[in-house]
Order: sequence, then structure tokens, then C-alpha cells
Amino acid sequence: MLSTQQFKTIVEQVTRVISLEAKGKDDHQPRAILAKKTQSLFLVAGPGSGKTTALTLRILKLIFVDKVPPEAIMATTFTRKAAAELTSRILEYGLGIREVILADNLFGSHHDQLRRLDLNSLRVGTLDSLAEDLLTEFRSTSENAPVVIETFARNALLLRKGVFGRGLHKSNSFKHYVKDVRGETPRIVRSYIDFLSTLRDRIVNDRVNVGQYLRSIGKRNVDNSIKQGADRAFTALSTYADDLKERQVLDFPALEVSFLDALETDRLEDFLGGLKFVLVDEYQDTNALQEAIYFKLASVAVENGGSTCVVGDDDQSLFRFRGATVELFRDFEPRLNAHTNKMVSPEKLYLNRNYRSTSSIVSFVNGFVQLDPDYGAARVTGKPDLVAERNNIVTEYPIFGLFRDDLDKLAESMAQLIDALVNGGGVNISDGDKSWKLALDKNNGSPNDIAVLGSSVREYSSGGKERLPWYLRHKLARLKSPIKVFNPRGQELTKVGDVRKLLGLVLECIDPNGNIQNDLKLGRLADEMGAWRTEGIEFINDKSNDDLRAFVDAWQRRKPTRQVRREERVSINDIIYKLLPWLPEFRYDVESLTYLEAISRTIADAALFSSFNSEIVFVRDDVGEQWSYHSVKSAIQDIFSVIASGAIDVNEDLLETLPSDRVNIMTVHQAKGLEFPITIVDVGSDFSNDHWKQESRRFPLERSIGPSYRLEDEFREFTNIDQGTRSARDRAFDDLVRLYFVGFSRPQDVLILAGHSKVISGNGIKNVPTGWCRDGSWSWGSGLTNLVHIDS
Amino acid sequence: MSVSVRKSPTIIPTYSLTGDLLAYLRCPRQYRYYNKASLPPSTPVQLWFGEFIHGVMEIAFFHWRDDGWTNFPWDWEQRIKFIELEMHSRLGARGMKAPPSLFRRYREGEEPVRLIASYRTELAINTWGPHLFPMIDKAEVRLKGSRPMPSGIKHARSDYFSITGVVDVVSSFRLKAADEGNRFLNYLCQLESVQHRLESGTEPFDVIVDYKGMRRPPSSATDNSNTWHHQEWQILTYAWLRQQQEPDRNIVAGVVLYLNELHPADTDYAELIRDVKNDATDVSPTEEDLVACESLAKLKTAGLSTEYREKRSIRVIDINDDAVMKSLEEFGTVVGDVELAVAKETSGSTIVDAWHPEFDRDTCIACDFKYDCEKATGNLKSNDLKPNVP
Repeated sequence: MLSTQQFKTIVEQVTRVISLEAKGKDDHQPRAILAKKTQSLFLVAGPGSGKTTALTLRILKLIFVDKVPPEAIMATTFTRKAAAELTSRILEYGLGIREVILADNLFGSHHDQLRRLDLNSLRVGTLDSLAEDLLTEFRSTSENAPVVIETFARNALLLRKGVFGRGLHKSNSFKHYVKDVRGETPRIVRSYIDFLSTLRDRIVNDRVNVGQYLRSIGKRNVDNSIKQGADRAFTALSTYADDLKERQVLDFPALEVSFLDALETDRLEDFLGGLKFVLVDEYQDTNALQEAIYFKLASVAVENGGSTCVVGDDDQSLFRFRGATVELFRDFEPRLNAHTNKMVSPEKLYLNRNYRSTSSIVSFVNGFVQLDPDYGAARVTGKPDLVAERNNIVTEYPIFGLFRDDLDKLAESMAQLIDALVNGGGVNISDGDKSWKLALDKNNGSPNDIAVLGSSVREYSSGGKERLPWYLRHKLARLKSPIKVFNPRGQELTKVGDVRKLLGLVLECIDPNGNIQNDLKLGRLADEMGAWRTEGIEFINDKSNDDLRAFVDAWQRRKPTRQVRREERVSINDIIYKLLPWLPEFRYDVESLTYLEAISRTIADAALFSSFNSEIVFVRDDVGEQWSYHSVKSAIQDIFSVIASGAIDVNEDLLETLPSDRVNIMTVHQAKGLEFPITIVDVGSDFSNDHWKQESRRFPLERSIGPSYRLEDEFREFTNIDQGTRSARDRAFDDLVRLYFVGFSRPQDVLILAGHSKVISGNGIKNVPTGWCRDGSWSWGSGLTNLVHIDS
Repeated sequence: MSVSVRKSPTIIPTYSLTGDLLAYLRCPRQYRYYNKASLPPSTPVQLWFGEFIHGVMEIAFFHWRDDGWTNFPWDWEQRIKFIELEMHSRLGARGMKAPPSLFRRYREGEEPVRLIASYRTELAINTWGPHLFPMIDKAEVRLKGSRPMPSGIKHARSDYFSITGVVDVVSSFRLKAADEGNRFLNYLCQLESVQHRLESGTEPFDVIVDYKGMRRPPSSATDNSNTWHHQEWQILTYAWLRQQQEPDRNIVAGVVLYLNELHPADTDYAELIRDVKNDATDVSPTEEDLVACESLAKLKTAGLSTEYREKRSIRVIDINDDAVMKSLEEFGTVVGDVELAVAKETSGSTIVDAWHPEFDRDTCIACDFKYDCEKATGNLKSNDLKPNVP
């Protein structure tokens, strides 16, 4: 339709900024975009390197120059948000290009063809969403559309069928096995579920040969109890998998297995027949099962006269704990070659021009990632440095440091800085005779331009002590002109006051005084529910809540206030919604609404497995109450105890309309793919002493290697993933480098490292993000003189 | 000197025709809670029946197509019962349990207890299956298209928006293939454009069919409800979307099948009488049917004629460029309104300030958020507004 040159010209015209002329031999972006349609690509794309733009234009080049029909293109992203962004960009530029061509008579012969071009028929999504869509769309008459269960239902089924159904909670051998492979003994119900869940992900996603594994355990020189525990664990997983089948539902690993199976058995023949281009983003977070899917798709696309394009960055691989295997990215070329008998030979290109950050930030990030020579061996070979390419920089700020003697002082200084930026027109920072003015944009700046990133954003430690996010939220709230924070993962759902009241009120309605709850012997979970009840009752006792008292009282006495049949089934959500007039925040405030959504969806999802379908049998006080009793028991067991265990999270996607007047507090994982003008990275606010329990988060030793690494080592021998030479400790170190590499590369203008003074003073506490290498050397040295420190 | 301003990523908002635009038109605030925030309704009767009847019709079509079940009527005991059970089990797998007033699962060895969903299913298959199934070209067709954001919408999230929809059935007609006794075609021939096509050429043409698990809405606005027109816009927009997908197909008509009309519920008779009295229905009953209707509403003594029920269950919509453009404009305005509400919320308004409520009696009565809604308070009886126990 268009020549390459015409495409280049029109792209410049439509995007107004993007030039497809290479700025030198090492500028690979134009090569990646303009490569011929049969050329497969392996793109190693650094942070801020315009990856989404490159992928968008690569796809549009295939459509407008190579005439690849949009429906022959499939692109997968890591998150739904990234999929929406990529689709939006393709549509925005694609529709723009179409308009330019349609307006130009020179292209008159293509106008008819162009009018038929349907950019919306591109398949862009997460692998799971595309798998679900394709299995639905191309299913045979006798097949059901796949039904995929979410985390809550999965955890609940693992608990019922796996933990309780197979008696794991009473099994010492199971405990011994968990301790052996994970390094920690499970203590609370949640940790049993977590272990089974991780185990299932690991064996399915890594395509572990379970039979071989169990045989090898049988031969190991370990306590018999551990062998029996392994058997029990895998029997529990089989029971869970059988239950999924019986219910005709899939969890996410099962969905991917089912998709691969459909691809390999030609059930998706019609889809595969037309496939010409497969793009995979964030490949560094792929697992072995997904790799098998992508290899199959790539082979088909190449056979059909097309190609594949894989994009990622090993330095930004953060999801090992979810089963991501960065080695699959690092070894992509040889693995693909081997799998396809060299039929697919991708060209490796580097997108290393950083369009996001100032030169000083780019230089700092380059320095950090090369600090520890032992990390080099874990990286893609031949990787060039990032090159600072941003061209609208007003000031080159140095990298700042903000370290204080305790959390209160640190949060106070941080709050003062943010206050000065948001409310005070800016702040001057001096270092000797140099001085820098930091200010938000006068017209369009907002607290949303500032992000505080850390490895965890929980407001409380596991021991219940307040952490930096808690201090900072409070300090900002106490300012003369208070500033709000955005931190949806800051506190567990069940720590939110209104949520506790609401849950307490429902419990009091259906089970006054907890009589039925007590029969269940739920231990700590019952204590938590008891606390909700107390808060609910205190709320009722408030003088203004007489109507509420009457409502709860009528429920407790089962005194209907309308005409009812002898027996009625009432959805627990009905009770929840009827309580909302007394808790209006849930309907007024975006954040509170997401809490309500998490609770009501949990209740609705429980209908999948709970005996009474998340309903309470309401019988009048004067008739039998056996079913009522059992329905309440089932609700407490299947819903409220799971919520009390802390297993429910809010859906952050629903916060899209949150006002922009808030400072972002995020984990580095949440911030991946995002950028902020000012970024404060917490590099050690928790580390006031050299405690071994914190080692895994700053400087792992053998004794503190986390469960993800242990599980990898446990199973890798029974997969087709090369074990490699990196020890668990090395991998743990590598991941810490990656985590802070991502954190440090988020800012556009200003990077501030923050933490406890102990991590920079004297001999310091060994800590990767403050410049320590795994051999125990401290490259940045005492005081971190490479930073400009912000004094109080 | 100041730092950069954080740019929000460009996201082209996607609107589902039924899940977003029609839901917003019913009540913007309810849309915010049920659709945008995906709060599950406490008593999803309508949701369950809608899914059930769509699934049943799809399975039935597959049996007709693949298993040679071409002779109608189908026996309930031998065939339809099992389709119902299949669909019931599929919905159960998704955590959607049948409302006890609509459907009860049949168990082996027990006399089946048939409720209203089952009677509607049988009639839907046996009334329309013989005439519709042979004409089906594709079932469950997913559609997506993009349009420029209407001009003058400040703070819209993008210059474009996308619309999505799923057409239940696309039927394809050819003059010679169509059986003269095909009642579906006979209804379609009410449209001049269809007649013209049939008379003038042999080119195939497409008809979009949408199943609705509801009664036929009043054909003129009542209680602020304009469902009749909204559904017409929906079909017209489907036609536009389908045309984007396959520009060579000629879509000349749309059909909405109101499947509840084949077996009305007790409350439907009263509503029908009300529509007749308000002159708000386009399919008026004969004297005989009106009498039957009145007696049914009171005493349930006689049935409406088959012909009348069939007539009320089918609605034919003419598809032409002007009408399609008008529907796109109408939905464009709705998109503009939603974008405005989103922008208001993002700039700090509370949810209730950003999303105003609309009153429609049936919608409000079934709404979980009616208890302190200003529209409901002004229009419903106080008893309907009290959080009752249970």
C-alpha cells in the first residue's frame, strides 16, 4: 500500500515527533520498525526507550507497507493496562495514517482497500485474555466456553479440597515437606494455601515432570516423613485439579495448558491458518509453559510467511516470585533455534536510547547496574549502555539523598519536601556553592508528579510496627494544606475502618453474638471477626443510628419487616447493600467503592463453591431453623473467614478515576512501565539494624534465601530449563539489582534515594541499593558521597 | 525552572453497547456502580435469564446445524430438557445460580418441575427455530469499531472511542433459498427495503438478530424510559460495526426477538394492559386477546392467541444509512456524557455528584442503591425505599 519512504514521511506527519531515520549505526529503533515482514526480531529494550512506540510502528508498518491484514496479527502484553495502552496507540496512529492517505489523491488507488481496513480486528491482550477469547471463539459445538476462576475462588477451592479435604492442616509430614523445600514451616491457614498455590503454579508453569520428581524424592536420603509429605502435597493438588474439571472451570495455569493443547492438536486451525505476526512484550517475565505457547505461535507465523517479535529487558525482570524465568529471555535465541530447528532466526536489536530521563539519571542507572561485576554474567551478552536521548531537559539535577536517624524524622523531612513542592512553590537545595531549585510546573503540576517507591508499601510490618508509608501518610495529612496519598496496597482491606464496620454489622445480623461462629473453632480468624463485630456494635450504639439498630435487631430476631414466605433465601450482598445508607462513603468515594467491590465480588464468587450459594436462609423465628444455621455456618466458613485471613485485595484497575491530587506510594513492581517527574526511592527505611530477617531484602546470605529460589532449585532438574550455573544466592542478588534498576530508572527529572541513616553511616548495613556488591565491597562508600544530600 | 508534568498514557476508552451505553442510558449512577465498578447485583434475576435464554438458543442452533435436529417441533422431554440442563450447568460453573422463581433443576428419577424459564425456552425454540435457524450465517459475532470523539467534549480521555458488541445472530437471505412459508421472512417483508431486495435481485443480504430475555417495551416513552428507541439504536450501531468488519455485506434489517412475550409472566399482562391504555404499544391486541389479557391478569383463565404472542415477540427494524448515522450520533452523545462524568470524578467530585440518577420504575425497584437515591425517593413509595428485613 505504502512504500517504506512514504510510511516514514506519513509517520512523521501523524506523530509530529517521531523520525524513522537512524541517528547512527547503533540506533536500532528504525531498524526494528522497518525490518522486512519475514524478519523475526529479538528486541532488548531498556527503560524509557520508547518501546510502546516502536511496537506500535512495527505493527503499523506491517499493515500499511507489507499489507499484513490486522486480523493476522497477535500481540501479548503483561498487563491489561499495557494492552489497552498498546491498542490505543495503534488505533491513534493507525487511524491518523489512514486519514492522511484518504485525504491524498496520490493514494487514490488504495482508498477502497483502506476503507476496508479494520484496525480493530487486531488481537491485542494479555496471553490469558487472548487464550480465553480464542478458546471461546473457536470452540466446537460440544465444547463449553472456558470459565476462568479468579484468585479468591482458587484459594477457597485449594483450602476446601486441598488443605481440609486432604487433611494437610493436621499433617506433620506435610509440614516437614514444606519446611524442606521452602525453608519455612507453615503456621497459619493462609500459608498452607500459599504453598499449594505456589506449588501448582510452579509445576504447571515450569512443565515439571511430577512423576520423575516424586520418584527422585523417594530415592533421596531424607526423612521418610518428608517423602510422605511430598506425596500428600501432590495428592492434594490432584484433588484440586480434579475438582476444577468436575466444576468445568479453569484456573490460569489450566487455561494456558488448555490453550497450548488446543494449539498443538489443531483445534485452533482456523485461527492459526491466518496468523502472520506474533509480538510478545515483557518476555523477560515469561515461564516455560508460555514459552512453549509462543514458540508454537512463532513457528506457525513464520510458516505462513510472517515473523515474530519478542521484546523485553532482563534487567527489568521482577516477577520470579510468580514463576517468571528470566533465563528464558537471556537464552531466547538458542532456545528458539533449537525448538524450531533454526526455522526462526531472530535478529537481536537493542533499544537503548533513553527518552525519559536526564543525563545524570541515565548515567547513575548505568553505573548502578554495572556496579557488581558478578551481575554481568546474568545479563544478555553484549548489552550496550543506555544512552541519554531526552531533548527537552530544563535542569540537570544531581541524584539526591534523603537519610535520617529514624522513621519519624525521615517521613517528616519527606513531607516537608513534598509540602514545599506542592504548596510552597518549590524548594532550594544547595551543595557547597551549587544550588538547585526544585519546583512543580506552575500551571499543570500536581502531587501526582511525585512518586515514592519501595520494595513494599505496606503501612505495617508483619510484626505490626508502623512503616514509612504509614508515617508519610500521617505527616502529609497533618500539613496545614493536607496532601493525600494514593496507596491502594498500603493497608489490607480488613484494616480499613468502614470495611470492618460493614463486615461486623453483617456478621451481627446473620449470627448474633457469634454463636455459630464459635461452633466453627476458627482460632485467630475468629478473633479478627470478633474485632469487626465490636466495631460494628460500637457504630450501632452511636445515637444517630437508631434505624440501623432496628434493622440489625430485626435480622437478629429474624423478625421480617415485609411479608415473607415461610423460608426465603437472601443474598449476603443484599444485606451489604441495605447497610450502605448508614455507611455512605462506600457510594461516594472512589477508593471506598473499590473496597466495596472487593467484598461484594468475593461474596458473589463464593457462590461457585459454597453450599448455600452465598445466601442466608431466612426463616421466621417461629419455624425450624436448621437450614438457617447451616447457611450462616457456610457463609462464615467460606466467605468471612477467607476475608479475615487477608486473602482479598482491591482491584487497582478500578481506581482509574482517582483524582490526581495525590502523591503516589507504590511498589517498584506497580511502578514498572510508569514514569514520574520526581521519584523518591526508599532504599532502606526499614534497616535500622543489621537483622538477619531483613537480609533477603537487602543483602541475601545462604540462610536468608527466599522460597522462590529454593523452589526453582527443587524442581528445575525435572524441567527442560537449563539449570545454569547461578546459585540461589546469586539469583537472589541479581533480582535485588534488577528491582532497584527499575526503581532508579522511573524518574524523568529528579531521583531521590531515601532511607535510614544507618545504611549510609560508618561501615553501613550491607544493602544492594546503596552500592554494595555481593563480595562484600561497598562501592559507594560511607556517607554515599556520590549523592547530594538534602539537609533538614 | 520546574520539573516535567507527568503525562497520562493515552487510553482510547472502549464502550460496550449493552454493558456501557444502554446501561448508562437506563441510569447513569446505577451504571457507575454495577458496570464501571462491577458490583454484582444482589438478585440477578434478569441477568441470569438473559444469559440462559441466549445460551439455550445457541446450543439449540448447534444441534440443528450439526446433529440433524431439523424437524420441528422439538419434544421437550426428549430434547429441550437436556439443553436447559446443559445451560443451567454452564451458568452454575460461572457461579450463576438459577433464581428459584424461574428455573428448578431436573433430577433423575423425579418428576420435573417446569417453571417459566423452561416454558419460554420451549416456545422460543419451537416458534422461531424452524424459521430462523436455516437462515443463520454466524452466531455470536463479536464486533468492535472506533469513532472520533464527538467534538466539543472537553476533558475526554482521547480523540477516539471504541464501541464493542456481540451480535447474537447474523442471518443471510437469498431469494431462492428462503422458503416461502418462512414466517421470519414474512415479518421481514413488512419492510419495503426487504421486499424490494427480494423482488429486484438475487444478491444476498444480511439481517442482524438480537435475542432479548424481556417483554416488548412500550413503543413510546413512559416513566422516562426510552428503551424502545435505545434498542433500535443498538441494532443500527451493530449494523455499522458489522459493516466495518465486512464492508461487502448488505445489512438491510435488524430483528429483535422479545422472547418473554411467547410466555408472559403474570406481571406482564398488567403491564400490557397499561401499555394498551396509554396507547404505548405498537402491537395492539385484538378484542379477544385484550379480554384474555384482562382475565389472565386477574384470574389466569385463558391464554393469549399464539398469533398475538408471536407478533409481540418480533420487532423488525429498518436499517438505512440515515438511521445508522443518527444512532451513531446518539451514542456519541452518550459517550460524551460518560466522559464528562469520568472527568468530573477525576477532578475531585464525589461519585453521586458526578453521576446523576434517572428514574425508571422497574429499574429503580430492582436497584440495590435506591434506598437514599434522590430520584427513587421522589418517585417510589416509601415502603419500597425502606431497607426491609430480609
